[in-house]
Amino acid sequence: MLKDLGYASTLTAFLVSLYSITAAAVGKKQKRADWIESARRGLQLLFPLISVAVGALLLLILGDHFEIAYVYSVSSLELPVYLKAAALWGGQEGSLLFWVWCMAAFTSAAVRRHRFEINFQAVFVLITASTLAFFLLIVTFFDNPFDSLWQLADGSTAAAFLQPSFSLPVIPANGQGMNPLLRHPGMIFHPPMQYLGFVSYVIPFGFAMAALITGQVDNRWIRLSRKWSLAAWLFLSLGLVLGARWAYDVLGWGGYWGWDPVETAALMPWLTGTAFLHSIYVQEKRAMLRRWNFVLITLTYLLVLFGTFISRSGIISSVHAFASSTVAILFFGFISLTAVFVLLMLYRHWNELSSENAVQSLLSREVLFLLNNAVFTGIALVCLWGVLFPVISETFTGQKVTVGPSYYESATGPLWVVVLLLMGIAPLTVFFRTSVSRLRTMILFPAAGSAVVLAILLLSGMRSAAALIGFTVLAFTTLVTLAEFWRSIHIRLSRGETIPQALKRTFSRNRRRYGGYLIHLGIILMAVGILGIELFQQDTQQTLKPGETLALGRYIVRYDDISFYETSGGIQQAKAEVTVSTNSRSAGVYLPRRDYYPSWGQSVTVPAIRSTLQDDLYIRLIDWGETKAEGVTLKLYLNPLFNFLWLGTGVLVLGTLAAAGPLFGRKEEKGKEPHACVSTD
Amino acid sequence: MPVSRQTELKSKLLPFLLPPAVLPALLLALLLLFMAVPIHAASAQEATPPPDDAVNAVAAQIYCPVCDGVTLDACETKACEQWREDIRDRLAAGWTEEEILGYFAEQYGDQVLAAPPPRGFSLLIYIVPAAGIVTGAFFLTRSIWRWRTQGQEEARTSIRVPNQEAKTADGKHDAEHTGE
Amino acid sequence: MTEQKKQGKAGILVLLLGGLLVLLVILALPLIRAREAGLKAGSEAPDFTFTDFEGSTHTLSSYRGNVVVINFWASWCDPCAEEAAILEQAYQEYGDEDVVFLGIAYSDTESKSRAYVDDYGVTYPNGPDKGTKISPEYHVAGVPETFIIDPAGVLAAVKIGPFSSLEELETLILQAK
Repeated sequence: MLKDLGYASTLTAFLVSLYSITAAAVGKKQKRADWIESARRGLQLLFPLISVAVGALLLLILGDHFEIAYVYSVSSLELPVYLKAAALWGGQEGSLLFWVWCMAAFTSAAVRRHRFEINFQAVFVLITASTLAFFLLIVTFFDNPFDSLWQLADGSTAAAFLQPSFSLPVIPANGQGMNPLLRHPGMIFHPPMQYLGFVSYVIPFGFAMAALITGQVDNRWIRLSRKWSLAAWLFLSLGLVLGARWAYDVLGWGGYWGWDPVETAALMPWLTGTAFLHSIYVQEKRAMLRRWNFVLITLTYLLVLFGTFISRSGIISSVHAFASSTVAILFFGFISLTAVFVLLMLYRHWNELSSENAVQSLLSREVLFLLNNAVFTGIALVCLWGVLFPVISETFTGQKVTVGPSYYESATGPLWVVVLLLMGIAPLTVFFRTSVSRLRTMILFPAAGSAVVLAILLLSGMRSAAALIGFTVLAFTTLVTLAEFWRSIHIRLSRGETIPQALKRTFSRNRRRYGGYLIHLGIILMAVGILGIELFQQDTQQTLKPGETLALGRYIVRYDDISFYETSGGIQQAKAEVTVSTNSRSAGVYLPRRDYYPSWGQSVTVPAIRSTLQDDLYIRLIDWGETKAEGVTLKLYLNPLFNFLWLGTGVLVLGTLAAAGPLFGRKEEKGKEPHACVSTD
Repeated sequence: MPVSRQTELKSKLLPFLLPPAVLPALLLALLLLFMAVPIHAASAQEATPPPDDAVNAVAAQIYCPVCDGVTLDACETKACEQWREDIRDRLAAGWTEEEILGYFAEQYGDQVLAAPPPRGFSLLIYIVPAAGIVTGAFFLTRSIWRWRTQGQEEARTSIRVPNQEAKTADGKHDAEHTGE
Repeated sequence: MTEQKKQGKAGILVLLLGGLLVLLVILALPLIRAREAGLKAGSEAPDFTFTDFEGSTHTLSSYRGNVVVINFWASWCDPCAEEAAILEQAYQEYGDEDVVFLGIAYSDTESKSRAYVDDYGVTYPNGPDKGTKISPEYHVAGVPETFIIDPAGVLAAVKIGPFSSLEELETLILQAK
């Protein structure tokens, strides 16, 4: 019953999306506003329809309906409720349905919230409905989450929606369950956040294409896209960070980012998306970089599709990949068509997009933003090359190679430094022309401050060039950004405002700028954390008898005991007890352990982590004997400054919220005509 | 009303000179921060480094053959245990790191190495991005230069735009200071 | 727009479309390869050459006219150990009747492979998959996997996982003859 309801919903949704496409196309051609309006309503209908399907699937999972192939493959009786709910996106079919659901939610909100010019609306509906139709096609006819399990005449099991001839229904008593590595709170937050990030880029993409095709290439589509692209960027950033934290917690190698192809493919749209956020600011202020903006947003969207393609097609091997060859062909076709379409549209309208203004001076904010675009795009292309190279190598030479972190780090490292430097110089410049004397004045303090920092580092013995450059540039950028805040607060204080008032008004008067600076501070903190772990991580491994110690950096770890448990869920645990001390003072007892899942034949390392702002001590249980006396093998990692990464993320979120402002329209717009109706939500 | 140059400079600099107490405090905070960072990237080397660490140093440059994306030092499967034992034996027999990595590449294929060996086709992985960045930088510089030349021509032939940084009395330097 | 500019612009479009095409082809090739994958019974068995632990070379095509049993195994694989006895028994039975048995060690260290061969008393030729070139041809995703090839060089049967009994293996060999 539930499965029929779910399938009926996705099928209906697919048909409705086809209707929307047709109605929008016909309406635009015939210039019939009522058709276009109908298309819009069709698009809005998709969200409730797909919600029914999602609800049905969720109930099927929670109800342990293992006769449904998908439920069997991702869930099992002993999973706690929160993991069963997360199983919704645990496998290929469910995650596709979830993806479509998010996309429908966003497109619904977009057409509801904004009143578009009629042609613009037609194209926007056409584009978004086409994308939804494609994914619904896959979910309805190819990777159907509502397929049941059947036993065929020859004894094999097959999954299909309708009963094949000469088959019997199969109702397994228990499901395969969830891969042990996925049984972590990260499973609840990381995939949805990642999908939200990817999916929400379809909205600004739709705005861009609608603007391009209807010739409304002025700032209107930019103003529409602003908050959407900021939200998309925030979701994507959080998705990446949550993935990193999850990897750190469960993968046991003391790291957080492995440059796995799917990880890298998720980073690429973030790079172009970040450039886009900055670049649209220039278009708003100076009507420049319009071509860049179209290219950046379409590139971001194509990279999102590309990322989905490689994680679902199995052409590149990765821990993240689902593999399905039918879907792969469809994705390939869809990406190709979209890419060709985008290219042709850009070509056709390229001349309309030339800037109204030209660069007056090299020392201007426009030029720096242009550089920013170029560097971010450069990093993205370097990453793309790294992701594709194994495929290219195998095609041309038959020899498979692996492109590991060393490539990405050395190739993108210098570019990241340039980005951070730009982040520090750009606030010192203005549009049109920055006078040299002004620049000199403003750069004085930050430059001096960072020189002092450099001196301190050198004096304390640091010799790593990468670290010296990195921290000096970060110091410079920090001081510039803090100075910006200081200037505004200082003036307000001198006018008699209180500190809280000054802070609040600084933000509310120029939300985007100071929110942006706060985000920059967040990024700086994250960079500090990344520099710490990347350049200064230490590790050591040793076998210890009870009472023996292992030293690493400022820590001494002593092995005390080991015990063995079996949980009620059948998980076999080996739990070691170690005492950590630093500076001859005990810092606590920690319990690194290994969980073995007999039904999967797989074990998961659960490290013990001692986190301080100064560093992380990461303790991993590698091996042990039968008895306590035989000793254990421990591996220790020392990750200096690592927690700045999470701290920085928090600041980044705060900054984004500050920059975004009220979610639903502005209460008062001084002298600006509203670009969107205030929603009645 | 023209203001004296001295005062003008002072009023420009004043916002940047933080009150005396704050500046040293900031520097002190930064200092404490960086003290947290151990200076030497690797721990001091003894004459014979602990076997486990030496094995891991080599193993970290090899990828596990049976799991995806996990390096040999972190992998827990039996296959990886055996491979690490192999590395340990070879280290004990006096093999250098390069020799061991070369052996593994020969036995199991180039794909087990964490970085493509810089020979033959795999050289492209390093050359293409470098060439791309240089070429990109060149074209970027050229287009910025051209754009500026065009801008300067336009400025000469059209009505001069008032200089955007004409200071207002309260020192605000951006034309836009309200809204977004 | 001048004629020159128009041509230049069209030229750039051609360049970009060409670049896109190259990219798409690069992405498409592994897809195509994956489609013809799933080495199933009835497809031609990929030819290969390997050197066994005794030093002799074996080339698959040289065994045309014989049934060939290729078993991919590893010393770190417990199920492989379970079926080692079955394979050896089958070799003892059919080895003279022009059935060729070849064992290929997958991602295995030499010393451990040799020890495995000794421990389980395997007497037919075994050797490493040097450079991991043979396993990808047979789409080996794990071990053990066994491929039975008929005298015409065509795959007669594919067994993923260990044999549960000698009869199972015997049936497949007899079918291939």
